[in-house]
Amino acid sequence: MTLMKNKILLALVVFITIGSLYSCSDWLDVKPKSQVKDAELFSTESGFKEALSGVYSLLVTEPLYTKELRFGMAGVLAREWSYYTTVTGGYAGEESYDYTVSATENRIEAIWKGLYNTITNANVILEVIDSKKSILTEVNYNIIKGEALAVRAFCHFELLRYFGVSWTVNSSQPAIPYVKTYAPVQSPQLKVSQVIDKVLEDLNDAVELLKSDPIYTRKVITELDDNGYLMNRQRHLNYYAVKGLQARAYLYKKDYINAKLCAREVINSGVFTWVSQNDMIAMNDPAGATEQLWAIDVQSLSTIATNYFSSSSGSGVLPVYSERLAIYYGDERQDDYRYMYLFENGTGANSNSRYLRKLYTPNLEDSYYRNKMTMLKLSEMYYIVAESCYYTTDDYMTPINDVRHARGLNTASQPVNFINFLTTEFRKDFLGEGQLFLFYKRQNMGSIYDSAADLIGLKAYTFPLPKSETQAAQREDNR
Amino acid sequence: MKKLYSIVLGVVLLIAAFTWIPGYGQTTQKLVSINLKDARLTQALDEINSKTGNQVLYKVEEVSKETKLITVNLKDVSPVKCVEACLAGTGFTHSVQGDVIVVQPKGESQRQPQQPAKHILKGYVTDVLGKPIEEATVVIKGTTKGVATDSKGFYEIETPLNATICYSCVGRKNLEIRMKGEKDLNIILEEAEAEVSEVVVTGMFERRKESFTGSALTFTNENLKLYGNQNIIASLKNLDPSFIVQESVEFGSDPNRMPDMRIRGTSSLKGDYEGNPNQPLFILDGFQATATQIFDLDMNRVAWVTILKDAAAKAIYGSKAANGVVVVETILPKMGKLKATYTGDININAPDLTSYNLANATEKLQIELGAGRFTRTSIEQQQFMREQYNALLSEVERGVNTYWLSKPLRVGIGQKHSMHLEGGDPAMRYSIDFASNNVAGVMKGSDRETVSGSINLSYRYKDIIFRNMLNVAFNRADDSPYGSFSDYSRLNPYWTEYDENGNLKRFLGSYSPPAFSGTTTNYANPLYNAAVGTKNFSKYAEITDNLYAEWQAIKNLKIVGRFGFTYNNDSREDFYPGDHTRFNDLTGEDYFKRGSYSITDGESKSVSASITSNYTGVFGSHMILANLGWNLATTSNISHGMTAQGFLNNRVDDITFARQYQENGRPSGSESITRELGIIGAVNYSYNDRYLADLSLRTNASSMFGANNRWGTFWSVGLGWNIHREKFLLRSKVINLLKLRGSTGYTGNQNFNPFQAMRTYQFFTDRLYDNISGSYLMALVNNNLQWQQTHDINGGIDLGMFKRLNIRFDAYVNTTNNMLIDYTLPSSTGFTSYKENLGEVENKGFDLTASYMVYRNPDKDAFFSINASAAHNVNKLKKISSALTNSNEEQIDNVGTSPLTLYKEGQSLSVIWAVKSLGIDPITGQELYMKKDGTTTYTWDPLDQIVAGDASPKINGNIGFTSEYKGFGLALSFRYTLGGDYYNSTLVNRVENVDVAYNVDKRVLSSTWHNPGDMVAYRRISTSQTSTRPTTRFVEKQNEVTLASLSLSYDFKHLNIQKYKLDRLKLMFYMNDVFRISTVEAERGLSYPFARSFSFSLTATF
Repeated sequence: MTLMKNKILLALVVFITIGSLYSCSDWLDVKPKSQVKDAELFSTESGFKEALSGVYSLLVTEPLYTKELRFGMAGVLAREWSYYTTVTGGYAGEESYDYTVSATENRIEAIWKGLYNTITNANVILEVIDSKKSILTEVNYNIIKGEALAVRAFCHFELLRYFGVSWTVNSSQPAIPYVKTYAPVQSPQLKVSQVIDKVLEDLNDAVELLKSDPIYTRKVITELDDNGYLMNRQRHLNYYAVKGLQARAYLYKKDYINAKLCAREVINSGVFTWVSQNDMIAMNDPAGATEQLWAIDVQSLSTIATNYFSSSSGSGVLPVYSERLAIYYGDERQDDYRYMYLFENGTGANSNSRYLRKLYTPNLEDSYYRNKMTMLKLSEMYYIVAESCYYTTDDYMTPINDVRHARGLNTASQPVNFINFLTTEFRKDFLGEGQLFLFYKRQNMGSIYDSAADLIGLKAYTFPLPKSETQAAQREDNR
Repeated sequence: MKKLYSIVLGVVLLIAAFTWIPGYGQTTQKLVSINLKDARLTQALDEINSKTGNQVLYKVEEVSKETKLITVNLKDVSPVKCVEACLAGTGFTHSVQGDVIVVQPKGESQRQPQQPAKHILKGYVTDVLGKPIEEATVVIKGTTKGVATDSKGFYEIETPLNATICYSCVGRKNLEIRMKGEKDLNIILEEAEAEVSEVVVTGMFERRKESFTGSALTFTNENLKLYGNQNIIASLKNLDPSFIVQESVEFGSDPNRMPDMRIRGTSSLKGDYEGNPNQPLFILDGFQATATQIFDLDMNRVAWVTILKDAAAKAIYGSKAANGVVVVETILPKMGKLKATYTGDININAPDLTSYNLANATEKLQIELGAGRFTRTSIEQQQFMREQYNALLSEVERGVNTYWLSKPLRVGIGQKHSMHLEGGDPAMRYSIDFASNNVAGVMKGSDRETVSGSINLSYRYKDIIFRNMLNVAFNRADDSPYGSFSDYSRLNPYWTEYDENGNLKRFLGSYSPPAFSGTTTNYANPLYNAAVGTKNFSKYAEITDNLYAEWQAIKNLKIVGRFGFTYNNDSREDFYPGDHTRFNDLTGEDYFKRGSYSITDGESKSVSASITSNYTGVFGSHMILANLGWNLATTSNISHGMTAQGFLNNRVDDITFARQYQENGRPSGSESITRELGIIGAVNYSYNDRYLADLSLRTNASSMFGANNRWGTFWSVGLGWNIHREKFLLRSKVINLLKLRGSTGYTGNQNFNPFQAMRTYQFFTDRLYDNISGSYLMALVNNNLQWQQTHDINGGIDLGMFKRLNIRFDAYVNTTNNMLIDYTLPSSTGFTSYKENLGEVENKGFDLTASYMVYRNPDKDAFFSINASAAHNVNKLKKISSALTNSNEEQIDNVGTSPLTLYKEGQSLSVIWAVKSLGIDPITGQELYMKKDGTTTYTWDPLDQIVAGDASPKINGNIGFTSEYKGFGLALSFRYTLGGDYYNSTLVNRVENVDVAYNVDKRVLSSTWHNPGDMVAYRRISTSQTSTRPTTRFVEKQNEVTLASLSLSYDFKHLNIQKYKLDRLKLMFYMNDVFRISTVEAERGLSYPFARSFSFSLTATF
């Protein structure tokens, strides 16, 4: 009897011991349903694709590229619109270039946070991808890694363009940190020139990897190839988009030779073509899909167009009054496709207002034309070539006239002041695309159209580092 | 999950396997040795009885007549043999009847069958919990004839038919029963009064109170009921001063709001946790329970509640115990005939509006006029405004003075019925409970209804006890359709609710500024909303099944297995029909969006299992109680919700009649799983019951922590000295109890979001990118995240004097290390915060309970005892990260009208920050502040904020008495808090930062600045709302005394109620929170008023 009892006791002790050891580590690894653990996500190729799509999706937000850094805040800073809300929460701070107004401060903070959050997401992909090379096809490995590097470079370059002083002012002014890790550690703040070097480093690595890109290899991709994963290259940072970014970055650091080289490679590739007059008249391609080196995928584009660019929209509306539009497009405006076809006339009380149509839903059903917000486009390459040529005493009028011809205008003669001329030409093509303010900044213009403010004196071209950064990290003044 | 089930299944099978183990442990007949020389027969039989446990029955008067002296010398023989040897040569013979040997004069055995007056009485003696009482004496009154119960509490005695049987046992009340010819009589012996609860139930094991070194307070059902019949939590706050239930100024006595409670101070910062991070752990019948379960538990089912406060008591709960543990045990079924107990309560809740001091119609209009609401500069405009004023004035003159406060209120009358049935024999016992509790709050339509039933079965088979408790509860909590009370307290008394035709107004009034200077404002009638048919309720259904198996494996070793399963299904629905005034702004093409309905459904399941082995060993003067245990638990929660809009017809109140889902809305939901397992070891050692030691060690792991720090180890050491057991005090008439206790140890706190220690991705639900749903990082996680640990040091003294005075004092220092705080990161890392174990909080204090029996007379069943308690706690933040300091600075910039919670090293967590005020300048009417450098200014600067006070009281506790006289009982308890500071926000918002369009405090009229020279306390009121920011002007000392409870009872035990077939009948009357005296005059119960409660209770057992 006692023997049996002892046996049972022994069994119990053994059971408990085994039970607790056996169960601990695996059983305690709980998997949340609405979330995926990183190890699980990166165990398949589609996980990498999802992570990369996520990185792009993070850019598709109002504080970043579906509003503020396109037509919203960036548009107001460049005085592109005749009307915008200036009440609390509106653009009063932007109007006076006072970045301490809390609504403006919050927008600046959101840009910083949003872009660095995107960088961190890209960093995790880059941290994991090399150890998972075996589960990816070679092409996808090259492309996903190349794109992740390119996103990282793009975001840092954008941060530099807003938070670093203009190269012309002081290229060795402390600017922003270049973050390459997912870790709770503070990355050092780099100078403007150091950041641009890091940007170019990442872009060069990306370009090498993206030589596998079908847009570059000209391999035809259909739905049958990996479910058509590489079909819509213009929605991604493809080989030419990265080339375009390189051109932009070289121009930023005044390396005109390389800027020209990169921009010309894009132009000469023949992949991108001008939108035809007929397509513009028919509203087949208001966004200029064929000219886009890179455009982000914005499913809510029609809502955005209704909210900000129609006479029936409420307080957020951003119209250009007809007199101002006449100034923008000058005397030759009746020939200019952009003036003629890219603006809608207001009705009733708003009959003097003109509304930009670039974001309007195209009449062509093909998804190639739809839901695309321009991030980088062909005309910028021509302008880069032109500016580079100007400073390297090369033929700078031909590239400008190439764009003019594509827009229905005649050949322009050599202007007295080329930079002023380039500015007006640039403005015609980039209205509502967030590039004009950065153009002004690169040129370090003290005064700009429609503003009495001294932008240089106000340090308007450099956003202050946000509090969420300076309160937790030791940062030097970036302005 | 699969693994868990296999483990749990294993446990169940193993427990089940014990059922078929054949019968060991049967009592074998004791062998006795006897050595007598020339002894009388009585002596000899006595001797045998003492060695066999009263197996020999005889009549003293008969046997003492025997003259033959006996000499025997026997070794290890059966008792029968022994008796036989003693009787040899005497005039007596013996017969064996069951276990009993009956000694009779020779020849009498033939006569026996003719004695019809004698018969055999059998039965069991148990304690109230149904545990058998061994060695209880069963004696026929007036004789020395008696037996003792065996190890299972069984006895069998031969008695005359009309005998009175006396049952007695050491430490228990004696009981006399007059027989009426029964053959079976099962007896329950209650514990003697002086020794209430000899054991401390820690939920996992039992500890002898005498040798326990931890700080634990146990309250019986009777103790709890002395202070109220509402719920356990409401009674506990009047019993233990360190158990604090935070009064909510906002939500008052809302019956559907869980109270915020804590034991011995605050150790965690809010914000890092889900729910209330300082809430104690609740254990119900051995398993973790939610605060809601305890709140809704029928009080009549509770056997006792133990509050575990120091490390020695709570360390067995390891990672969850840092905030203290409340252990609740329900009543186990008692053996006996079917017995039914009914308890019925009527609870009356009456609103307490004494804190409101609002202006009446005349005063209000005067205030508006004074504030310049009807004053304009231009003549036309002035005329326009005057007309509006005159219209209001004529209303006031007509006698309109609506008392809005009473409109949404009622005297809530709730009922509670509870039925308890129990009975059974030693092998099988059962109890069935049914309870229905309807709490009616003071706002109309605010109800909480709980219906619960439980079946408790206990089965004993040899050395194994199985018990199964099945409990089912349904609850429905309705919020008042009248909405928030604050919507009424602000209405102007010159408005009326009905129009001339007697219809309820949709709008009470309007205010139009002159043309081109603004738009007309219409003031909606909240009463209108109560009539449109809103629905706001939540409900839950809960099933709990607890299985318990106890096996006395070998003599000193008991093995207990527990398995618990809880399933809870809850839902919440909120419906506002289209006519509700909240939709007034939806006009034009948005009109169809009026009306909204939202539904949330949740489900939670928890499975827990534990096995503990308990060893008791006595080696001479050494006594050891050792426990070893293993436990495992998993809890999963899931919830889904949706909102629909567009209900244009008030008559349809179902979500299916919605026009559409909420515009841009998405289904909501949440989900979480937590798992944990642990191993527990605990030893209690005592030497001679004088020197005591407790040791416990628990190591447990949880899925909530970072992979690098999954396991945590918690331990405690306690030492004690029972000085009253020392020789020099053993005979003392003064000191009957003097015990010194001390303990130290570690426990943890893990009330936080389960997934924050894990790098996870979430998927976008609102956008695709290139037809792929992208994923994004949730947070920057800390793989090294570990348990928040609290180090407790506790010293205590228990003192009993003159058997009348009892004092219990505990002093403690609790330090919480590794406190989880949000470490602020530079946002260039991609995220702004990161969880770190960085902070340190210290809580120091003492708690004291004392009672003095002023008068006691058991003959008259009378006593009068006074009791008092006090608790003191000082809280100090010892270490915070520099990043937290930064977040403070960020907060300073955004300071509003109420003081901020700023965390500063060396300060308490409840400090009130405000700028030093020098009062209202009589000349300008502006507030004069003192800057940090001592200069004065009219400008409020956040950097001038100083520590203006501390909201936690210096001391709090209860004072009261309990008394009884011949069945009448009276108990009274006052609750007091002294020495705290209070920021009188309601005063700020009702006297200064007022919106003059709505009603205000009376003091606006008398105490605000109007003209230069006015020496007043408050600033001037104008039409534009001012915002008075935190200033010392509104910091007040808070000293309060509340009549917490009064109970009056009558027990019919002194009347002959048996003739009505009643065993017990008791009537009680309670009053709770009836009055309150406070140094602070502030509106309390803003969204829901406070209530005074009165109740009648009747308990009958038959």
